[in-house]
Amino acid sequence: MHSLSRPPPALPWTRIAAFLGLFAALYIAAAAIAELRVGRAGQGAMQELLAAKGRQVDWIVLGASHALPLAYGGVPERLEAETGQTMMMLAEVGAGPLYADFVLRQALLDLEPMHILYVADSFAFRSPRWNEERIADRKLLRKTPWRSSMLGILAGMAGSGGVAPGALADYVTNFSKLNPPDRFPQDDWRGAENFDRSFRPSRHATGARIGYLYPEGAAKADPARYLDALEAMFARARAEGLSVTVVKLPVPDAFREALPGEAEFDAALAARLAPLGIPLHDLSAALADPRLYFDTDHLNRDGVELLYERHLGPILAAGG
Amino acid sequence: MLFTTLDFLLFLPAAVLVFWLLPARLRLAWLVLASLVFYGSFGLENLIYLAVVVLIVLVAGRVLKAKAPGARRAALWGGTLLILALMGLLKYYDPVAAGIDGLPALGLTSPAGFSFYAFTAIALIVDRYRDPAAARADDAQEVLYLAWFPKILAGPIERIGPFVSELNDKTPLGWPQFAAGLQLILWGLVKKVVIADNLAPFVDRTYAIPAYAVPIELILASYFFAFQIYCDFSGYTDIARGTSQLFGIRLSENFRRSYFAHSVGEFWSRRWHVSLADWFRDYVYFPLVGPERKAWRMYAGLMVVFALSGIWHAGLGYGIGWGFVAWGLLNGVYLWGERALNPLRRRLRKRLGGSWLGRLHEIAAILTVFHLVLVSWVFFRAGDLGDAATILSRIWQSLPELPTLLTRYPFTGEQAFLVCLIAALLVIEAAMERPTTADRFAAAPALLRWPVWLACLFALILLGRWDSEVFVYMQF
Repeated sequence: MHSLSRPPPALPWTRIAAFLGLFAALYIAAAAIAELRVGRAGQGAMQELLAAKGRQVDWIVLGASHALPLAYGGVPERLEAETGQTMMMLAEVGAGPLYADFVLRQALLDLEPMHILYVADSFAFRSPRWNEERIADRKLLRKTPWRSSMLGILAGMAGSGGVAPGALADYVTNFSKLNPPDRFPQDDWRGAENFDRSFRPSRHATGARIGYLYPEGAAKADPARYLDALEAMFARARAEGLSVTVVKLPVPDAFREALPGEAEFDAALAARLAPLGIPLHDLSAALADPRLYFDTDHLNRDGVELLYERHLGPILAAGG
Repeated sequence: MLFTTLDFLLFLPAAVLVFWLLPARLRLAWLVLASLVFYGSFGLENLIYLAVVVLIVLVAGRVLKAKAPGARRAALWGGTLLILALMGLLKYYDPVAAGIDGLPALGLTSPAGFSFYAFTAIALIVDRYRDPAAARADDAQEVLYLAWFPKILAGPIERIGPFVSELNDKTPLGWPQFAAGLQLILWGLVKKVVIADNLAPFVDRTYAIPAYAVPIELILASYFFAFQIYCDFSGYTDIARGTSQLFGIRLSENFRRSYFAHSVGEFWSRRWHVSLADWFRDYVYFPLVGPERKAWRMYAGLMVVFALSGIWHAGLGYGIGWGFVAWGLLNGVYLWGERALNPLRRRLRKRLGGSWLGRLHEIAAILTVFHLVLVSWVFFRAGDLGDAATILSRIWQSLPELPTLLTRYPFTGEQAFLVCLIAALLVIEAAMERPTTADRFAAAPALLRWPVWLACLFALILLGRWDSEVFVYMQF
């Protein structure tokens, strides 16, 4: 039998090109409008960098959400008032070392920082969710300004497997700004709004939070891959003349005790930092009282003030 | 590689381009290869299940060519029962074993779209048994018939005769047909990504714990689900038909603006998943009813078909439960009632004719059928029979207070947005119900047509939800 022997269709190429041209023009116009409205998606590290371009800062803070209360609690202002040192908060909710590396690369292009304060959380080393997937997260891409320098960084990271090609395509086309993934948000973390609250300890809430932070559990998720990324990031920072300080911020006792594989992680982190001569300040047990937290594991205003007075202030004042 | 992924967006143009550049003798092989790549992208083990079904069909086909009636009957029953047994094993063994002490779990899951190509294979075996001349195809064509990628995940369940006619059609494919394929894909994507996938999160949240949801939300979620499942499945079918059309192979329509049906019978036989209804009619209902068509056998046959359909739907992403059987039986009861009332309905229609009362009667019929189907969807979507009963009883109890509840309920932007999407769909489908609309639109100047297609494209870009990982029916 002679199957499928139809001649190919004759396509009206001029009409097709005109339609596609019109579509492309409209798309570019829509993407440009979306870019102008990027600030409405909420602040983020990348917007902070764009706003501060060319500024000299003493400290940049990298890490995940545990670092953010330092900004809510006015640590940068207090540090500047007391020591004259400036600090910029570049931590991002759920950001692991790969995302921190993305931020640092851009920060080195935009700012002239002298010190890095890296807030280490073991969960951020245990899952691609907080690393590759976070860079590809459309909620973050939505508030990441379109800049050729960032495109270069993302393309470089895509080449090394740290960024999914789809995420790169999303960034190039401004797709997440045109099509906001959180059009009708349900359960977003609202740290700043809850900052003045005190948390009533709950074993259920702690368990749920740990389950969320460690989606693969600790046993299956070897942190070595992301510790390599951290080490490489610090090596690059040191080569640029920056000093690096790593801290583990306080969490309530019940939360700390529930963290899976924490002792092994601490040992692995210390083993990576020691050869580089990077100080590690483990403050995770420094503030045990759950009333110093606004949820299961984030410091509230009182907690930040106490932390600054007793521990962090002296570390920062000494330049790490 | 779902139809809504970037991978498919790259795969499809490449497959189409190579197909039309190849000489005719290689095209069939190319389509088989493309189909295997597509289906294999959901897991290489899927190809093994497909290969088993293909093998059963080819072996049964060889035996069916024999003259001996005994051998032919053995091939018919052997092939059919083997496929049904495999389907039963994959779909039901583990869930059933979980409820019976001592039965070990085998860790089997039904591969994507298995039921669809299993039903297609049964159709081929039975058709070949009934009339070998009408079901003539060579082996390669049969493989493509079973594996053809646009339809492998969720149909339509094609018949071999029309499918092979499409393959053998030598009429040149014109630009209008090619463009119509692209437009079908676009409209299917709008239904799936813009409407169904935006409705899904609200439905999922509300149906998760029905006892905690307020009655207004249960009502909204039930309406939303009716449109979610319609847009999900008919959207899939549109994309499948459009995709196939780009290769010059037309597939059957399967959905025709389902919620404009005037009767439950019309809904099931001419507007909703028509290829499945035809399959059940030809391979279950007619054999059950027999040539005499006695009334009691017709009524019993209807109920058996809907009970089987309910059992077949079990496991469709919403768990395996009696809810699906209840859904099937309820639709069977609707059809019984409708058949019993048919003489009365005919007389009424005749008397009202084309008057305004006749028009009103038509609208009332459409609304009644829609709401009957909507009630049955509650059983389909709810986690189990208990949840379905909770939802329906809470809605029922709230009806007397509905005006007050509506004024007090703080409607959200999300709900308003979803209602607008459904309203837009209904306006477009109401226009498409007029037989001349499609032709008039196709003949309109580009100045009128292009804004519509650009609006569809921008609806996809601005409003679409692209994070869904399934089409509901591919989980069969």
